[in-house]
Amino acid sequence: MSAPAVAHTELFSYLVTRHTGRAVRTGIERELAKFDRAVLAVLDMRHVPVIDFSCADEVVAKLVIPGPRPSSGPRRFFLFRGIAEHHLEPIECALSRQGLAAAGESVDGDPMLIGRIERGVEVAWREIWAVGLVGAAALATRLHVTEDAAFGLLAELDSRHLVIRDGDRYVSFGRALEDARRGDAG
Amino acid sequence: MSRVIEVPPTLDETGFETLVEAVRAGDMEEGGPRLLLDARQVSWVSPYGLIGLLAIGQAARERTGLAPLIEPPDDSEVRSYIDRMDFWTAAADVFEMETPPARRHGEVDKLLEVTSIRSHEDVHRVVQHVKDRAQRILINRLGYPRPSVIHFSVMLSEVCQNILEHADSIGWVCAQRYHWKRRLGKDVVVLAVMDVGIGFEGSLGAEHARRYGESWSAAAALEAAFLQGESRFRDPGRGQGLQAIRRQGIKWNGAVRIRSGDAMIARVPDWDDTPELQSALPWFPGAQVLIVLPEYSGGPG
Repeated sequence: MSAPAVAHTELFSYLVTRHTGRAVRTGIERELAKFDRAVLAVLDMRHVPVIDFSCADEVVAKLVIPGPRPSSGPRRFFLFRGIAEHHLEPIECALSRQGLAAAGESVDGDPMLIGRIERGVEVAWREIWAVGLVGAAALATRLHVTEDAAFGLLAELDSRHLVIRDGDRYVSFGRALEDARRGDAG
Repeated sequence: MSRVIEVPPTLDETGFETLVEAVRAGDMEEGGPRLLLDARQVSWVSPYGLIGLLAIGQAARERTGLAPLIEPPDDSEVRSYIDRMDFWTAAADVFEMETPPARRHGEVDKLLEVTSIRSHEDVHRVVQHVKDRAQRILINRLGYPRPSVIHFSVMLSEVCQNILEHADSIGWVCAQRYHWKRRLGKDVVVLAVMDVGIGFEGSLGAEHARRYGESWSAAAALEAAFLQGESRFRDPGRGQGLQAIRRQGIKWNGAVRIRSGDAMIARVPDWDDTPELQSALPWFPGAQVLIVLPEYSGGPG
């Protein structure tokens, strides 16, 4: 897969009520629909003073839920940036309730997975975030697991759209953003 | 034909129950009498009691087709308090009144005046409006940690949305800080939210009643929503709001009570002795929510 496009969205103001959440999500989906290739959507929440549970369901959970999109359609990846302490509970709750997980970055830029995720899968995700790009064999070495186990972890992360698969290699969202920046600068 | 119903002198959640009991089934039917709520003897009123008057008035109005009447309290302090809580603005849409008393401004530890909720814009307004006051009252007066202002806003948003999502009707919200000398010996914030819509039994019925069979009731609907996070929608993302309120109530050692139909469910803190589930109460439409948050006593904000 070629490098995904990157779409930045800054969210502002009070994310309260389901109605507002639905409107915000619809706007984001409309923007993402314009891309005819894979896209990494970066949603910046630094300027969101309050998000309630209904809005977290609409803006986060319903965005990351694997919808009934055709398998041939472009893939979508989401990174929620600027996650503050007060955002966490509603988002965590909305995702966990449906067995979902989403990639995030704290206000300090620390990567995090929010929602329901097995410990081993999260460890693998952090490892990939740290190195940027990895294959099954390298991940197995780094995590001290068999290659089969590493492949299983990568398959899980890939199916949940938490890493970007590029042939035999798996790219972190952080690396994809760096690559996109470099591409823009070049 | 009209019927006078005397409002109890202490108009809190107990007074509201007395009032609901005083309203006969025939008062809430088409062709029923015009109600006159006689509040002249009221000497104390809580946010729950205050919007309880609106709820009873609105229920009567919707069912009889006649706007009820109201006699304001004689007590000047109570009158002044009611004025400052902006009760009459909302009351003008419910009761037949010649000229609503002018709104007075003054010092009262109100978090939120009586506010009608009809749309999501109203919920937005309430949540944004309450921020500075919540900061002043929760942090400075009740000793809550700073993030509690956000948690309170979320609680407020979810409980108000309950009106929009499930009631199919107008609702009201009101919140105030005061000192519960007799009951708790502490300052508390009391948040009351009410509507007279279809209630939990009606709201969840289409989706869940069949599964419960004959045991389906207002109490069963409240348990399903409050304890199990069920909602009237099949969408698994729904039904989080009330559970979040309950969890926050537990974290803050607060009381959360929801009355609907003929039942009431509660999250009961150690300082309260309300039963966790009551049924066979006098029937009343919609949902009536009472949240009491005592002075902060530690733990996560």
